[in-house]
Amino acid sequence: MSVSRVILPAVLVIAIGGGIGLADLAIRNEKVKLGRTVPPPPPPPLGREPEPPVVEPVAPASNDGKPVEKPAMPDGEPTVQPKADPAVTPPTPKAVASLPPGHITIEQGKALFDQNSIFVDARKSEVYAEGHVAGAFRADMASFKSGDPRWVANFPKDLTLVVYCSGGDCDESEHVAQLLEASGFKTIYVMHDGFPGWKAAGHPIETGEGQE
Amino acid sequence: MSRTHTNQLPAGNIRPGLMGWVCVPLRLILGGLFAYAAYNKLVPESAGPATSSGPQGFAWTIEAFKLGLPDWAVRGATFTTPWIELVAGVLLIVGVWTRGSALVIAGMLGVFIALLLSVLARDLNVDCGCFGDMSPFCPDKVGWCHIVQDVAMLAAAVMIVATRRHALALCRRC
Repeated sequence: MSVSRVILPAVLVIAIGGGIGLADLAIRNEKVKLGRTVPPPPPPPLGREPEPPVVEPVAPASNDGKPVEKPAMPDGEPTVQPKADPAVTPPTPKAVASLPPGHITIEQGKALFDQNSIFVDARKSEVYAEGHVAGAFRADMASFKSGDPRWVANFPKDLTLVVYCSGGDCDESEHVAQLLEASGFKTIYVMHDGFPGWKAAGHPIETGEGQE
Repeated sequence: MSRTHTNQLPAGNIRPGLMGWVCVPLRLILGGLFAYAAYNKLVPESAGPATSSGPQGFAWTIEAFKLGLPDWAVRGATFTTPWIELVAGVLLIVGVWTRGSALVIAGMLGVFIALLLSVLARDLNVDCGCFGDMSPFCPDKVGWCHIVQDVAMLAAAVMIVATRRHALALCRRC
């Protein structure tokens, strides 16, 4: 192989492309976000206080004592209201400690579900239609391409969101959580075991196109 | 100097042979694919605050491969990889530093194949990100289709490197 006609031009191609790339990095570095800001720990399951350990469950309520309701869609159509099931077993410290920062267990997700937190399905629309967490909104990566999904743009940003995908190694939930964070939401959790874990636990699910 | 010498070919014959012409479509396809891949990794589709394409989407793809890279390496790869792809792809199409550009592309494809094999070996459920957030030939998720796709492109790149004189090239000597 000719050094002057193959190797040297190859080195120059890498040098030119790499140089432009580093200049681009210096210009656009701020626009690329890695990882995600970890939200505060999720609240304890509804009806359970950390101290004392055993407390009778109570009905969901907001700060002013009125029942908490999920926000309605912009056109006024109400969202699916999950059935409250306050008898949730708190996650064990071992199970929580093994999760990445910002991730929660299925049971922690169920506790947030019972408190009417917003669930976000990060999987593709056809998979969503086959089954999803009851009342979950659809926001896969593709839905952000032409701007934020309608519900993302209209919902108050102080809501607690729980994002999930297919569990295991799927990264869609983490990426959608970053997009939602960039859209202004402050408290976002990733349900680590995703829809398979939720379904296996026997928690409420539904099928159909749902809401985006 | 006799006049007969003017009718002879120069000492370094630069006329392309059959392989030089065979490689023309390979150069156009391979260079076009790399330029297309680079464009999708460099240009976000949405100008809004949140976007899953362009550098942001490619950075997440690199993170999803779980290579244990520090942030500075992820950011460096996010911007240098597509620019090298773009420069090599364009030069391959126009025929300047043709063999060198093909060698760079072959090297990148070798790295890509190794990364894809490591993803398959670890059974990770991640998107390829080969062409940004597009996937014209294979499903989104990494699978053997992507290995076949990259091996086919690698074979074309090696063929271009091995061909000394290329047709329809702005610079046949380089």
